[in-house]
Amino acid sequence: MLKDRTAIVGIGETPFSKHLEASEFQLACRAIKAALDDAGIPPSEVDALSCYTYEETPEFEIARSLGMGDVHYLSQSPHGGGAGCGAVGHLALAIAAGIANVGVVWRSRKRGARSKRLWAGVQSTVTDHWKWSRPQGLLRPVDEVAVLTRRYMHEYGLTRAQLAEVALSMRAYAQGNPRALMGGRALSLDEYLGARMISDPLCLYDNCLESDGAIALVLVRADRAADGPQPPVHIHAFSQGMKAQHQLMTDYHSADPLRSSSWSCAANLWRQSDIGPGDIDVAQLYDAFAPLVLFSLEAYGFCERGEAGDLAARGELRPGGSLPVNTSGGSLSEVYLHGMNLMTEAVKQLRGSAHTQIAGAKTCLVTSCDTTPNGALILRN
Amino acid sequence: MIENAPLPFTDDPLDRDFWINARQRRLVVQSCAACGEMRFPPRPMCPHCQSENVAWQPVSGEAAVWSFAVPAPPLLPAFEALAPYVTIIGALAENSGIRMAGLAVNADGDATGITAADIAIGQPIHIDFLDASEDCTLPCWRIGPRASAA
Ligand SMILES: [Zn+2]
Repeated sequence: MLKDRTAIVGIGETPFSKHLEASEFQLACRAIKAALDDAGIPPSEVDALSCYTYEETPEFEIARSLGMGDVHYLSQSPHGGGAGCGAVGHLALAIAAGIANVGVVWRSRKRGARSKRLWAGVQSTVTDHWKWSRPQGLLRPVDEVAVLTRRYMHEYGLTRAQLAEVALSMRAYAQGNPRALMGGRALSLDEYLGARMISDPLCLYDNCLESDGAIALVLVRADRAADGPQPPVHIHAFSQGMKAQHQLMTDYHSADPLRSSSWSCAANLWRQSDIGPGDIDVAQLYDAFAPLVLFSLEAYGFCERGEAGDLAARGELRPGGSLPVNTSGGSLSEVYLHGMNLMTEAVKQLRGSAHTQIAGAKTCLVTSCDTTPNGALILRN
Repeated sequence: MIENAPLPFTDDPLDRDFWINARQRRLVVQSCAACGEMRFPPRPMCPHCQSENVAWQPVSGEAAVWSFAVPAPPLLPAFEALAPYVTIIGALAENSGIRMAGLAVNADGDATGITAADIAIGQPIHIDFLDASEDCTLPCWRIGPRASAA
C-alpha cells in the first residue's frame, strides 16, 4: 500500500526569472541541495532519483556533482507537463516498497530564450503522430488546446469572460507572492479581453510564462519524516491516467475528446483515497493553458461537466472560495517549470507557510497536464 | 505550395497508401479488413479485433466542422506567411468519429486570408487537396458543401 506511507520532507527552489545566467545543470544542483538542506538530510543518503523524460540534466551528473552515494532506484516519467505527479508518485512507490530510503525528484529548465521553446524545434519532416496536425497548421501546444477549447465553448457555452477568471484569479494570487514573475503586475478583465490572440480563442493571458528555474523535492518514509525539521506532507494517493484511445495533445479522435485522460486518472485516484473531492481544501491544477484548469475541475469532480466556467466566475478559485486553486500564481503568473511549482506550493500550503495561506489547509490535490497522459496526487499533512 | 512548412513523411508503410491516394486527390481511411471498423490516424493493429489486415476505404470527403483554431503570429515562417489562416478538425459524413485536421481553403483553394468569422462549428465542408511538395499532397478542408452538379 502507498497510502500515507511516504512524505515530502524537503523542497528547494532557485530564483525564478525570464533569464538566469546559471546552466540547467547548475540550477538543478542548487535546487536539490536546497531541498536536502530543508529536509536536514545530507546528499550522501540519497538513494533514489526520479525526473521527467524531458529533463536534460542526467541523473549520473546530478549524483556525482552533489556527492550522492550508491543509488538504487532511477525513474523517469513521460510527457512534459503530464510528468510531474508521475515523477513524485514513482519515487513514493519505490520508497514505500522498501527499494530505497531517500528520494529526490527535480526539474530544471531554461525556457525564457525563444530558441528553447518546444515548437521552435518543429522538424521539416514529421514522422510521428504530429504528421496529422502540424503540417496542417497546428504548430504549437496552444494551437492544439485552442481546438479543444473552442469545441468546449460550443458544447457548454463557456464565454471568454468566464475563462478570464482563471488568469485573473491566478494573477491576483501572484500579487501576494514575492517570488512570482508576475508580482506587481495586476491584470484587469478589460486588459484580458483586449489582449492579442495567440491562437483564437486563447489570448496572451491564457498562456503560461516562459521562464528559467529549477525545483526539487525530497521524499522519505513516513516514520522517518516524523523526526525531520519540517512538518511532513504525506502522499495519500497517487495515480497516472491515460484513457482508451488517447492521443498526446491532439486528442481529437476518441469517442468523447472532451473527456480527457484526467477522468481516467481521477477515478483511480479517488478509488484509493479516504479523502474525496469535497474534502479537498486547496488544489494545484496544471495550468500551462488556462482552460486546462477548467477541464481538470470537472474531471476531478469539483463540478458537473460544463459547469467549471460558472464555478470560476463565482470566484470559487480565489481565497475564501470553495476551492482555492493555484495559490502561488501557478504557471500563468508565478513560474512555468512543467508544474513543479504546483508541487512546492502544495507543500507550503500543507506546512502552513504559503504566501497566500489558506487557513487550516489539511488536504491538497495536485494534477498534471489534462491533455497528455498524466497523473495526480492527493497530499495531506 | 507552402514554402518550408513541416511536411509529413509519406513513405512509412503504415500510412503510405493514404498519401499515395491523396496525391491522386482521393481521400481514403484505414479500416480493418477483418471487422470493418475505420480508424484514424493509422496504426498497425485494429483496436477492436487486433487484426493486422488493413483495407483503405474511399470516402466522399463530405464533412462537418468539429472544431477549429486560428493560430496567430509569431509562427514558423511558412505559416507566418499564410496568416491569417484557420485549421479545421473535420468530422467525416460517413463516420463522424473519424476526425481529420486540415487547413481551411476558400473557393479559390487559398488557405490565406481566412478568419474565425468565416467558419462555424457544424458547418459543412468538403475535402480538397493542396500540393505541398513534389511527393506530398495535403488534404485540406474547403468551406461549404461540394457543389452537387460540378
Ligand atoms: Zn478489426
